[in-house]
This record gives sequence, C-alpha cells and structure tokens, in this order.
Amino acid sequence: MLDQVLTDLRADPRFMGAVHHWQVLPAQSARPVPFPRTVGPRLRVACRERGITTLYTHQAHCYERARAGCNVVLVTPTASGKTLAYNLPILQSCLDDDAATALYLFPTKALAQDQLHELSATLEAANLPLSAFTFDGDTPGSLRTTVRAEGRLVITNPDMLHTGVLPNHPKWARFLRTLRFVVVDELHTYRGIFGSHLANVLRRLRRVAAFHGACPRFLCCSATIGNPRELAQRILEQPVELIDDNGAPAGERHFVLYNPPLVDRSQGIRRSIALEAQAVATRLLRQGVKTIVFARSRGRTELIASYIRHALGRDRDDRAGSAAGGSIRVAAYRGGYLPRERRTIEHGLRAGELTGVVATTALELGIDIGDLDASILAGFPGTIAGSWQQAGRAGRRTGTSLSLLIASASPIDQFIIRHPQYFFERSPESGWVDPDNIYVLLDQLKCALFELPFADTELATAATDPAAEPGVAPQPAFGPEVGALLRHLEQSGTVRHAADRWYWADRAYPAEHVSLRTSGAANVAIVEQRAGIRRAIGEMDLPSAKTRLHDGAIYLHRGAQFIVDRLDVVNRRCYVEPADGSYFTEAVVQSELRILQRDLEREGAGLSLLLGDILLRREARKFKKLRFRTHENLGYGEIDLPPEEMHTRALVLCFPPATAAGAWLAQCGEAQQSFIVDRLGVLVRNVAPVFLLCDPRDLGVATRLRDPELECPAVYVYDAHPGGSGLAEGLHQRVAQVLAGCRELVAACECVAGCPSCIGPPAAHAPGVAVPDRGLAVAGTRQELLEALQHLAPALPEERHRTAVQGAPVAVPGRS
Amino acid sequence: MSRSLGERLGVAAAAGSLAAGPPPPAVPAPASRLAGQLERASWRAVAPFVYCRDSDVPSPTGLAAGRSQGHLLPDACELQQCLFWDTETTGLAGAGTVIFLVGFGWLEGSRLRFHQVFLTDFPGERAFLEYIRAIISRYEVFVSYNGKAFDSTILKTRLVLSGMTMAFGYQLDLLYLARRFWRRVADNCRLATIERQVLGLERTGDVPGWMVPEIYFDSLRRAGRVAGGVPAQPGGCRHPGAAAGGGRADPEVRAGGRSSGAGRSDRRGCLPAAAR
Repeated sequence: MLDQVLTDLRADPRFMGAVHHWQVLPAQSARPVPFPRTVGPRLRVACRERGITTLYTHQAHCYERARAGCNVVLVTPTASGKTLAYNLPILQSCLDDDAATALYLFPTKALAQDQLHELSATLEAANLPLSAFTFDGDTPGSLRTTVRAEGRLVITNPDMLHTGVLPNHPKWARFLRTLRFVVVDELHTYRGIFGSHLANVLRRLRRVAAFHGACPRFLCCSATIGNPRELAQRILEQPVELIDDNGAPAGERHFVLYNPPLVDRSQGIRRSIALEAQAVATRLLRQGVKTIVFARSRGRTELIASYIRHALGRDRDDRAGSAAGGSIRVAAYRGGYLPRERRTIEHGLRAGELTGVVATTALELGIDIGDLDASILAGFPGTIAGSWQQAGRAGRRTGTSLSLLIASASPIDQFIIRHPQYFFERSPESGWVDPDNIYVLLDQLKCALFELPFADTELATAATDPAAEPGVAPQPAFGPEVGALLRHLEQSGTVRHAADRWYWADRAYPAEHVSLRTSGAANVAIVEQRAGIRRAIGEMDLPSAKTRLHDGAIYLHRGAQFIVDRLDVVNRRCYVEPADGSYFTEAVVQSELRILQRDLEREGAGLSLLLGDILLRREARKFKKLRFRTHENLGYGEIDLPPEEMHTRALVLCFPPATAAGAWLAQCGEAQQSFIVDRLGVLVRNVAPVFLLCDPRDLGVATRLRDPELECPAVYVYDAHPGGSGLAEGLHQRVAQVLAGCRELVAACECVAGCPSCIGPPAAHAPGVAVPDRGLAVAGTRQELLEALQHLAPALPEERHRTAVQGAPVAVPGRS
Repeated sequence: MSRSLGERLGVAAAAGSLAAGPPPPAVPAPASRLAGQLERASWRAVAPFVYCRDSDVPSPTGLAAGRSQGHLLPDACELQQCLFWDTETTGLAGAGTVIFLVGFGWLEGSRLRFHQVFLTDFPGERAFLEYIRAIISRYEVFVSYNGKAFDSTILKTRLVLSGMTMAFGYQLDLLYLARRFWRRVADNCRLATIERQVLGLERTGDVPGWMVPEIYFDSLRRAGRVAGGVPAQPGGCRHPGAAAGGGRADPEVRAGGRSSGAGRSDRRGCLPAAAR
C-alpha cells in the first residue's frame, strides 16, 4: 500500500519539485541475546506466552545493570521494547522478594493506562502473583485503599505522586517500606519547569522512602536527546548509567523534507503548510495509508483537520457515497480536550475506525494508537529531537514507513530544510532543568515540610554533603541553602522552628496549590453556553488565556468554532458561544521589562553578556482578525485585561560601544541599528530552541535600541516560565553556537532581499516577540543583516572553547 | 550564578512576586507565665508540652437508655468499655496535619468523666501520642462523631510518623447513624446541626471549626521560639460524647457542648481561659 504510494509520489513531478531531500533509512535487523541466567522460570514462561523467547541487547543490558543496583537511563527508539527492559528486573525482584514494590511514573494518565494493560498481560500470561494498579485522579476511592494495602506495582503520574501519595505517605507505609524501583518513563518530557518540579518531587520521594527505610533505584527511559545521562543525573541527583545499545529491529523508513512552493519569490511567501499538509494527508488517506499529522498549535490542529475533512467530504459528494472517500474518518487530537474525548479517539485509531488523526505534541508521547504508516509534520516542531519523536509515531518493526516534514516559511524551518545533513547527522538537542528555581524550590520545600519535619542536623548534612554514599539512604538535599528558605517561610508564618526541628504550621495542604506543569495559577475552564445550558469543553492556562481567550477571541475546539463571550479571570472561567465566522484571532502583545538582579556580566571579544533576573510585564490591548485560508487581516478588536507580571531569568546580549560588536553597531545609522537589533532578536528566538531543546514558546525575546539601564543596544532572551527553568543558563553556555546558527540561516536563504524565512517577519507579526521600544520602521535587506551578523556573530571565541571543553553534544553546523 | 538563595529570595520579594507574610509577633510570652495560666485553669503538665485536665458530670440518663434499648454496641460490651472521643487538628488531611487536642469521655460509676489532653507545641508530640495511646489501649469500643474516617485516620498517621503502632478496637461512628436516621430531617448531618435540630441543644460561644487551627497557630506564634514554651491562647474543642444520643434531657451535657473557652466560666468548656 505505502510502497505503491511512494512510487507514485516519486513519479509526480509537482510533488518532487517541492522535495528538498529524500532520505531512506534502511531497515535494521535485530540483535537478539538469550535471557540472563537470573531470570527465573516463571518470568520466562510469562515472556514465552507473550511470544518473547530472546531479548534484545539493550534489554539484557538494562536487566543486568538494574539488578546490580544501578540507576539506569535507557535511550532507544520508539517500539524498541523499552517497557520489557525495565519490567524484567522489576518483576524478577518482586518475584524473588514477596514484599518488594515498584512505582511507575508516566507523564500522563493515558500512558499509565497503557502500561497497566501491558503489565497485566505479562502477569496474566504466567499467572504471576503480583498485583498491578494505576493510581491517579481517575482511581475510585474504594479502590485506593486496596492499592495502598496490596499494590506491588503502582503506576501513577508525577502530579499524583506529588498531591496524592507523598503528602499521605504514612498511609503508604507498607508500599514505601519495600520500594525497590522507581520507573521514570518519557524522561525527555521532564525538562524545563516540569523537570525542575519533578527533580524536587523525587527529592521528596527519596526523603520519605528513607524515612520508611527504603532507598529505591531509578530506571529511566528517554527518547533520543543530546544529553540523556546528564538530564537524568540532574533530575535524580545521583549517578546514572546510560544504556543505548539498541538491539531492536526496525523497518525501512523514508524521511522526506518538503518545502511548499513559493507563491511570491521576491517576498518569500510560500504556500501555507496547513494547505500543503491537507493535500498530502488527503492523498495518503485516500490510498488507505494510516496517517498522523502533527501541527504546531492547537488552533492549527483544528484548522488542518477541518481542511482534510472538507476535502474528503468533497470526495463523498462527488462519488455519492462510494466507499473510498466515505469510509475515511479523521479526528483532531490536542491538549484541552476532555479525557473521555481523547480515549475515544485513541481507541478509534487502535481499532481502525479512524484512518487519520491531526494532533499536537499531546500525541507525541508513547500513547498506544496502533501502527501508523505515515507521519506528516506540518512545520518543524522546533527541535530535532521533537521531530524524531513525532516521526517515530509512524513506523513498524517490519515494513516501510514514511515521514514527511513540511517546512513553514519561518526561518528555522527554512534553515532545517536546506541543511538536511544538519537534520540527519547532528546529535539532537539537550534538555535543561533547574531544580533550584526559587519558585519551584520554595513551593516544593513547603510540600516536603508538610510530609516530614526538617531536623537541624538534616540541614547541616544537606549543606555539606549532598552526595549520597552507595547503599546508604541518601540525605535529601533541597539545595545547599535550605536553611535560608526555611527561615523565610518561618517569617511568612507557615513554618515553625521549635526545639531542633522545623515544622509545617499551617492548615493548608500545600501540594494542592502547587502545579508541576506550570509555575503559575490554576487553569481557566472553557464553558460553552448554548440555549441556556452550560457545558465545560476544555481548559487553558491563565497566561495563554489572556492572549487567546480574551473577549471576542475565536476559539476552535474539535473543528467547531466558538467566540468568547466573556473571560472571567478571577473565577478562572471563560464563557464561549458557538460561532460561524470567516476569521480567527491573534492577540498583539506588548511588553515592558526591567533588570532586577545581575548575576554574571562578562565582556567577550565581541559583545558583553549579562545573566540575571528580570521583571517582565506583558499586556495585550488589541487583537487581529485574520481570514481563514488567506490569513488576510480583517481588522482589530480591543482587549481589556490586566497585564501579566513575571519574574524570570534572562540572558541579555549587550552591545556597549566599548566592545567590538557595539562599536561596529554604533557607526551604523539609527534606522539600520534598529533594524539589526530587532532582527537579531527574531533570529535568536527562532534559532535558540534548536540548541536548547525547548519549545519556541518557552523563550521570549525583547529588543532595546537604547536600553535605559544598560545604556546601549540590547537583546533580552528570557525564560517564559516564572523563575526560569535553566534556559537562560543553557543559552549562556551555547550563545556562540546560537549566533553562528543565526548567521548561517541568513546566509543560506534563497530569497533576494529578505523574507520572513531569514530576516523574519516584522516584529508586530511575530508571536512572542516584543514590539521594539521606539516603534521605528523596520527596514533593511538580508545582505545588510548578513553583513551585520558577520560583525556581531563570530565573537566570543572563549565561549566556543568553553563549550567544547564541556563536551557539548552539538557541533556548530556549517561553519566556514 | 553562585548567588545565594537568600539573595535570590530578596530579589524575588523586591519584585513583589513572593508575598511576604505578616511579620511574626514580636513579644513572646514567657513560658513560666503561660504554664501558670494553664495551671490556674486546672490544666496539669504530664510531659514537656503536654497538658491534661479532668471534669465530670452525672452520667446522662440517655446513655444508659441507649444501651438497654439499642443495638449499637457489640454483644457483651458494657458501656464502661466505651471511650467517647474527639480531636482538634491543624488541618484536614495528610502527613502535615497534627492533632493538638484530644477530648475523651468515659463512664466512672454514675459519672461521665471528661479527660482532655493538649499539645502545646510540636516537639511534645511523641509524649502526647504515648499518653493518648495509653488511654485508648484501656478500651474496646470507640464512640465518635466522624471518627472512623477522620480522627482515627489522622491519629494513625501521627503514630506512623512517630514510629508507633496501635490497634483500634471496634469503632462506633455516630455520624453514620445520624445520617441514616436524620438525613431527611436535618439540614445536614454536621454535629452542630444534629445537636440543634434533633437534640435541641444550642451551643453558645462556640468557635467555628475553621478558625480552630488559626487560633492554635496564633498561640504557637505568640509563644515564640522559647523552648518549652506554652502557648497563650489554646483553641476550642468539640466536646467528646456530646452528640451521643442520650443528652437531650440533661442540661449538664448540653453545657458540655463545644466551647471556645472565651468568656466561659464553667469548667466543662474545653479549653481554659488560661490565656486571658
């Protein structure tokens, strides 16, 4: 089926005209090894019953290291049998010791359900006397007691561990006393603020386990990222062994980089990815190829799904109910759907009722949706690692699969599409966390204190000896300055120091007020009002809601259009009504910032760098109405909402006249300076996520031609999460590579004088980029910007040196 | 980057993004004075940070009647084996919720005796729990209002945290009975509602339940960081056994309802006027 489609595509000149690169990744054969000797007969029977008679190399390796008492991080591709790799040592340990228990952490409830089915199948295959349960928000109260009393294998998520298990750890005494293993699957999802929280939740887990007398080992799994071992060690704060000798087979994979044809060459305008994705997806679906389309945003997901349905619907009309078009069903899938809706779609895909799905990264993780043949990435997901994860959703152990990356007009997409070697040869990005983010730490410390008082002696130990000795229950270390934090909490009245201990002294249940996934407040519930009946249809975090659910905004949900009637910020409610307009909306965000604290200031050969804390004030006062399909601007509307204030971490690129870059910049005309600084901001924001393994939305950029505090031109690159999640520090380490990437991008563009793909769109049209402070006209050519970057970008030789010494996994791409 | 957390806290506070709480009250009351106040209200120290006191009333007639006519207690169980009990806690659930006051009631001859145990500060918890455990271990049946789901759960949690164990005997939770009998009659089955609407008892000078922890924390803060300090104004207490279905006609039991201690002079008020 797919092979025929691939042949057809290769023979289609119009399609091939847009293909920049077609990579065939050959099939890989299995590397089997026998079961290790210590795997007992019962477990072997269970495996045999499930058709497993040999292991892959990485599975045997993982088994041996885990049984030897090591922490492990396993990095192998999708469908390589990671689950068995960590289940083998756990099941064997639980069979050997009939009290031993294990805890499984998955980032979502859906993944936990999948794991329960997998485990149950193995347990039932040989009637193994172990009980496996999920424990999450969906577990009924009556079952919770059973799980605590009898569960040997408990599958949960970090949020439930944080709010449900740890604060009630005395009820879990039986389980925790004999806790041997903790599985942390999908480790790569725990980066940024979520990872920073998870690191602290695991500090709490180790502390509580130590209280009950256990010192569990951690088995982590990750998709391919640049620094899995480093990320695991940052999160676990213990030594971790890396296992990546993948021995699983894989089918042949075709990876196609596709650039939509230019509509207007001089302005660099290309056909929209939504339309291109729809065209290719429709083509595949009509041939019966099970296809997943990944879109960059929730709105895009709905848009593309409706375009595909519309196209397939035309089939239906044309052929008056003939089977070909009529039987193809396509769903949209994204965050913000209710769990029930999601389960229906997942089931539909597994059961074959759905042929296609258009999804956000919500489906990127290992949720079981059956075997898919093709994945279409409608836009570069921002990172190489993310691209491989999305592409990996299609593909089988045997047989051919197709992945198609459709580039948008954005600079980074164009950069990737023109540098296939960069995409296929370069190691993927690294993940960053900052467990000592002040907001995260304070919140988590309250939770820890609620669970067990801190002894003065514990603080002393934590400050002097954070590293645990092997075999000894590790001392919890909430950073070296936990004492200062406790005194701060004591002043605020939630903590009491009496005799030689620090006690939680407040009636609140702190975990309830701390969300691991955002550093902010509760989500906004989206409520549909129709004929006097109110119904919750979705949710959104508050900062996003202020720019996407303001009064008059168009909200798309499962292909249906709604218009926001009223956003009630205080009560976290957004009332929407069904709508049938011809446009969607985009808020225009303005921001102000000031520097709160300078932590590090360094003069480089070219420019000077400042790492520190900033206060950012963002406000949306108006929004644009854009027509569907053409995206032409139909007018503006007013927004009346209070501004968002945020304290976060930033790296500031400063250009004082005393530096070479600053001096060069100073001799340019005012308008040209404004153009260069503004465009540099756009470029950095586009390029940096590739080096930092973050979503472009995790970073914000603001540019100042004359920064009032720094008294020079400056580009602020800040972490979009309050308190920061390690991105500013990560960028500080890689700033030379990022700047080189910016220069490379502009140099390689095919346009004549500059287009949205190189020098970027005007600031007012770039989401997340602040409007320049003085509102100067932005005018300049690609050549001017390239010349500027040759002066600004190759600076910082010592920076490059430092990164190289630290063994950073990335090579600077295409440096001449 | 090597900035201390203390400095970072300062910056965060300056940004207005970390709400600083109210400053701690400056003048801790001397421990000896507090101890004196408690003692004048007939509390006596039984261990560091642990106080208790007794009072009694004639055995309510309804108690005996309930025994002879009812089927609430296990066979062969005498009322003398029943321990009425209730607690006051710093929160509603979780390992960080501490029991700071326990009220017990039991029959002694023809009298119903009340025995209250008060924890004046966290370091005394272990002794407090040992003292409570010793009382509980003398009884076989535990009569409470919502004690099955709440008080005994919290107590078990506290015991685990102190490395202690204890077996509870039969628990007779009157909340479940009240629900069965009066769910349709009463507005709700909260103890105070049942007392007022079913038993015709009116509480006076009662501290609302949600304020109780605040009063306790306030008393801790006033005590400051003086080791061995005694808080100045202990909170109110739900009185044990008050709801047991026999008190209707007995003014003494009515007087034993929940009390704040504030402005009360009778000694059945749970907590002392010590702080005043």
